[in-house]
Amino acid sequence: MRRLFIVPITVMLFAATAQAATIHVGVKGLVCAFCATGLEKTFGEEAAIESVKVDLEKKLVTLETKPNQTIDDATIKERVVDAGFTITTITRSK
Amino acid sequence: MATKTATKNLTIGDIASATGTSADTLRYYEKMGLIKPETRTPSGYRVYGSDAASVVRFIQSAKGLGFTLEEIRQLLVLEASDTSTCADILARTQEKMHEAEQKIRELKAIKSLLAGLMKSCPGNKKPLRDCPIMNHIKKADSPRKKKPATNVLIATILAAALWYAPVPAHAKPVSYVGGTMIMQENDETGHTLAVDYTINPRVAVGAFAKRERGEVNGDNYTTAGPQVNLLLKRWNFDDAQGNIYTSHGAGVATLDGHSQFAAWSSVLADFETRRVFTSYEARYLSAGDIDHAFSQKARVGVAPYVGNYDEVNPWLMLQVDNHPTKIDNFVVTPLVRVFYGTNLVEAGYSSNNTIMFNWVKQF
Repeated sequence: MRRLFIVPITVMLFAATAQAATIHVGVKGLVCAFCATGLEKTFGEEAAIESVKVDLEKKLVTLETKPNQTIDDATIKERVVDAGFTITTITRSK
Repeated sequence: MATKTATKNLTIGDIASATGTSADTLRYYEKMGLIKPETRTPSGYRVYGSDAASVVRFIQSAKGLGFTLEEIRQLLVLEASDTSTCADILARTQEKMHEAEQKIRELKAIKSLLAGLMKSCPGNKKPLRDCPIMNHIKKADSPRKKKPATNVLIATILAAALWYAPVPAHAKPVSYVGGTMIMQENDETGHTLAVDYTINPRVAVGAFAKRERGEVNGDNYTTAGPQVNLLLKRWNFDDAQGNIYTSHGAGVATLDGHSQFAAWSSVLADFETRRVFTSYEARYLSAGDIDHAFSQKARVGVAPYVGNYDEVNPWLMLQVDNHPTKIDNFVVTPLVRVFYGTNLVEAGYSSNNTIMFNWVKQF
């Protein structure tokens, strides 16, 4: 009977850790296409990042991480600065 | 000048003598409607009024400024009219100035060609058939080729089209760390190719080459060398960005095989939102006895609509160039800039009849 509970719980936990995360990064100074490209390429070189999407209208960079991988706030900030911009917010969701 | 005073009977010889011209010339002026004797003697000799000498001096002075006899006749008509204004004269003078500028350009081109021919000639006792100058003159019998400047422009545009491994046309001199930018500009100042690589958020290094239109003597020459671009200050706002950059380069300037050390520096400031763009750039170039000059340019632009970066983003812009030491002191260029992803293209037409075509590619 106990096995009936343990197996599904283990599977659920594993699934949860294997999920990709979505990170929304608010950025100041995003005014042109080249700005967006710079951010895309900069984050695109990060091993943990699956995809990068820049929204100039919302001044938002959306990062999708690879399963089981993550990127910390300090690295995100460093990459944004490397691309020439200033960070306003970092919001994470699963 | 045209005020008629006392009527002193002056012969054609008197007028010729007073003005240092000839009787034949005066008769020709009369035929062209520029002067007219007041009367003639019973035996047919011309008799002039006392203002005739002033009119002739006016003609001579206007000729010295490049006015034709027909234009001078029109000036005399204006001068005699009560309703003429300064604006009437100014308009004609501006036309004359443009003609003078064109002549200067042509003479400079001739001077440059002559200098090149002189350098190509050994000046020794080789037979004349081996003389490069004579051979060049003989070749001139063949049908005229297209103007070199036109060829350069066409070749550059073709090269740009073929080598569409794009670059941003005067985009940011410093991009993102690890980013490479190729920029190719063709405008009234010459043809530029620049490549830079951003090594940190504030520094980009690269190479710069330009076929310059000389500021001082109008000769076309080439400058090339390494260049460093520095971001001195950046302001990131929610919906805007402002920057101050400076660029410094050093290398070689070459004119007709003659090379000199050259160094150049510029300061660029810009401020832009997704709707509005403004920039100002000042540049100083020193290239020994080939050229040395200060120039500056400013731009304003608006985006008719804003799109995301994966869409076409057009801009309507106006650029004003100022070359204090040049003939065309101020040049105005309306242009269209189009961003698409990592590509930027600009096309415009300058007030000195030069086509502008710039492109930039970011990698």
